[in-house]
Amino acid sequence: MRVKVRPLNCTGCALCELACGFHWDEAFSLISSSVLLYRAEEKKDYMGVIIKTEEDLFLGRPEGTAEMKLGEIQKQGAGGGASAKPILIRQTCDLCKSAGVEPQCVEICPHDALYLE
Amino acid sequence: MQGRSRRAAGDPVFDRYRKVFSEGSTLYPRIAVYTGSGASHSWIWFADIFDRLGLFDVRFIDESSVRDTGLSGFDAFFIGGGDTYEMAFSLGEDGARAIEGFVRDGGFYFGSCAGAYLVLSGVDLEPFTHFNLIDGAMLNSMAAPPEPRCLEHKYKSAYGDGWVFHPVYGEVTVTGQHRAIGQCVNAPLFGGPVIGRAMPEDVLAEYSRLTERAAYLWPRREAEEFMIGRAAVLRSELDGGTVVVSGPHLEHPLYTAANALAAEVLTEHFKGRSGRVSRPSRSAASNSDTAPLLLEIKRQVSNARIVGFGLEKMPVAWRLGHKVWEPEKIRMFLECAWERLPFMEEHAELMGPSGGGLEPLARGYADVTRISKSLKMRIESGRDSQAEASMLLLSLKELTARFLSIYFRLRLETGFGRD
Amino acid sequence: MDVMYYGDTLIVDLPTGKTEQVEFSPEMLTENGPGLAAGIALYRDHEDGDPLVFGSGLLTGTTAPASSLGFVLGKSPLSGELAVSPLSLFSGAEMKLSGFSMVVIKGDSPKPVYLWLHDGVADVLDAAELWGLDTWGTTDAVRSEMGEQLVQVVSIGPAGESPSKLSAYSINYWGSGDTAALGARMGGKKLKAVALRGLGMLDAEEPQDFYEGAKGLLSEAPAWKGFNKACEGIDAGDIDGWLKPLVHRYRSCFACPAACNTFVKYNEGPSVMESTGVEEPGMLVTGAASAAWLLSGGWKAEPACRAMESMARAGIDLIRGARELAGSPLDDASETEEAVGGLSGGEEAGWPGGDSSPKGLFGPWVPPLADEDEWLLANRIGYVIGICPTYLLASGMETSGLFGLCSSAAGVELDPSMVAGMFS
Repeated sequence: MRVKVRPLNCTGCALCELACGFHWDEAFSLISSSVLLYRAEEKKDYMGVIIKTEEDLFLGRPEGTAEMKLGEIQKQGAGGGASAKPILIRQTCDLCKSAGVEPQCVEICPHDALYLE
Repeated sequence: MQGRSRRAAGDPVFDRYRKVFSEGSTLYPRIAVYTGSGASHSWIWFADIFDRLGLFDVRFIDESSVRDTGLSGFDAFFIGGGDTYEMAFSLGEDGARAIEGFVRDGGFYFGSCAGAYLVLSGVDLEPFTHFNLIDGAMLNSMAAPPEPRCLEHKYKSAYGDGWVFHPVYGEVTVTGQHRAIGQCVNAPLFGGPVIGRAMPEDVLAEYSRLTERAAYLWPRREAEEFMIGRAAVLRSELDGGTVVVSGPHLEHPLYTAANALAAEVLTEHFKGRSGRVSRPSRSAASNSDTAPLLLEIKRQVSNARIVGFGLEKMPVAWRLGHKVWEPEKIRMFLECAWERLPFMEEHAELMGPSGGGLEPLARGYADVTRISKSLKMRIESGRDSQAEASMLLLSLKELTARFLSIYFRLRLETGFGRD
Repeated sequence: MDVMYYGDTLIVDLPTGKTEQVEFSPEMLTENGPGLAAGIALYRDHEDGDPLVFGSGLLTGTTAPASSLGFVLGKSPLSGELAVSPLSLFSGAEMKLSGFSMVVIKGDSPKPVYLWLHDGVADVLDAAELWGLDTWGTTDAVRSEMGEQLVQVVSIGPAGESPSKLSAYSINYWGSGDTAALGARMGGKKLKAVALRGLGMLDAEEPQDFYEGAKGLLSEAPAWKGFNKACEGIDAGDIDGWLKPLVHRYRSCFACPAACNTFVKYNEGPSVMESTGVEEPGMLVTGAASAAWLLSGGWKAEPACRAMESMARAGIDLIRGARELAGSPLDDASETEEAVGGLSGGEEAGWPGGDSSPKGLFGPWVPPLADEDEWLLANRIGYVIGICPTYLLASGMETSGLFGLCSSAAGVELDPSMVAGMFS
């Protein structure tokens, strides 16, 4: 069971990041969530969602989804490799089990862009 | 400090130890933390523990300090994670002798992850031959480990004709008889040793459970069969000193029960000792010129944090020596300074002439901002970023060590236990 | 512990380029009220410096539904009266996280400057190289300088620099709801941009109560995509149907269940989802009113969107510009650009079918979805607590739940009459 993304449902509201950040920090911020909204290419409206787990990244890119094992893309590009240290600044997704609740990002998303499978 | 870090720092588990080291107590160890060649980022977690315990007589030293001074003037020496090969090469035979002499003379050695491998007797190929402080072998090595399920880049590193490998990467539970452990303690294992052939009386804790907060490079059942019941934390006396090694990072700031275990063994070592411990003098000199320097540091650390945050979502990592460094680690170093700046701002007037070394720090962090931006541009344009990343990370490590030295000096000067 | 706001009030003295930080006390929230109410009090305190005040509402930046709203407050060059314009998209939240509770920008700078507000550090930086750039170029340049694409850039284009009363500040590339020509005030101050970024955290007084309360409201909050829902009952036309052939995706402002903002592509196929080599494939249409004017004037969607892009780039008020353009639909891209260049600013802001623009503190950015009293109250509540007034009106959300959040967030007790009293 993991959190997956329907990328084209996403409208980029960042509620998932806020809810996840709250789960970890009991405060509101966009810096510590396990779910990451990618919105760095604003002029192109290229936007996606990344879920960080212990073993991989679930990438909800507009052109499709992928599960990328950490370390796998290290072989690609310029020194490339997915960020891997499991518990650093950003916790990996624990499906909110440590709080004993349903995954908050899934619950809070207004457009069903996130789901459990 | 906010969120989880604030909650962890305020955990009442630390109250007991703060009392032990509080003003009026005869226990106040002088501490050295290794930040030299081979050390990764995890040594900054020790700074968090010392903050929580009210231990402020802390220096951050490199291999030449170890070799040249023989750790004289210190009571405790901590080595965290990193590239064990590079540590051993850099410290060399002189460093090994210095550390051993320090312990035999009554010092306290704490090594986690790389700092544990370094001194295990069973890790005995070159360049580790001279480092031998505690009986134990690393069981996580074999000639041809099976292919990993994930985290291939974290899985193994060469050792002699074979490999050191890591079947699990993340949170584990350790259990032992020690009163600080209680029933069990969770801590993260990021490539630390699974220990065998230890003296039974040295085993402080064993791996007892693997959790869901971990990546399984081996199938979970096989990883459990391999690890559970095997030693995770050892403690041994060596002449007058104490050696503690731990596979998991007991110093990780989000694992307060593990922090308490580390604090407990530290406290036990010093209990009943006298003579070696001293209370530092306070020699605060009033200086009102430091506020602008601190603001400049704050400005540059903030700028670099913002760039570092952007780097975190980029699919890159860099191999420096035997270790893989991810962009997240850039911000880890910066957060370490960022969280402590408010305290320094509050006590700026006590920081001595020229802010006690703040000016080079301000210049250094400005360089860090510049290099971070340039690094990001290289990555965005698909160019190789290895050299720039290496320069940035080394520079951050050095700056953070200098920053923390100034911070802890100020902590000492403002008195014990004061926030 | 700071709750819902952190950091001081920043006072920027543009004539000297110096900044001063003044404690933002909790009393500010209770004595004057939060958000815009506090902003107005600060404006009055510094009125002799003809200030612009940047700030955010009490709940801005949280999980409260549609908690995206920040504000810019100043004397409108159009009316000579105090006026407020929105900081929407992610700029309101970034204002909240900038490390400054409120920002007061006084006087005029002798040379072009921009403000870089980050994590409680305020830098007044030279903008000589930005002066003359349009808002797209300015946003790109500032983000490149700061090394981060998530920096929110509130900037003016050539229209604001002149300063033309037709001007408006732009939020990143996409224009804004500034119908009070506060962009011209920025230009008069030689303030090219305010760039915002913060990596902090917002604390609530009763975090779990707040979070559960907000989640409860969100579970009931209607979600939608496009502009039509936010224009129901007014004569705005079928904006969504008109834009549909160009629609790439819909975008929300921060924490908003409604994704009104519509990204249209006309320089590459709207269905292209990959990040291609086309650097500027289209435009994020953020204003229903401007779209409604062009639609009502018989414009085809593509040239209309190109016209909106040109206005956003130039830093022109999209509503008044679109109203002026509406009567003369154009097809050709170069003609469109020329027409935008020739705008006179003779029209008032407002909505098609409406009699005139609403007067007073609030501009017609928020559609007239209710009678004037209710509309006014929605604006007041929205700007005080940081919730988009358009969402308040279009969703029909009860404000009592939001006031409950104010209590758990910061111990601030509010009700509609108290909010109304803050503006008396």
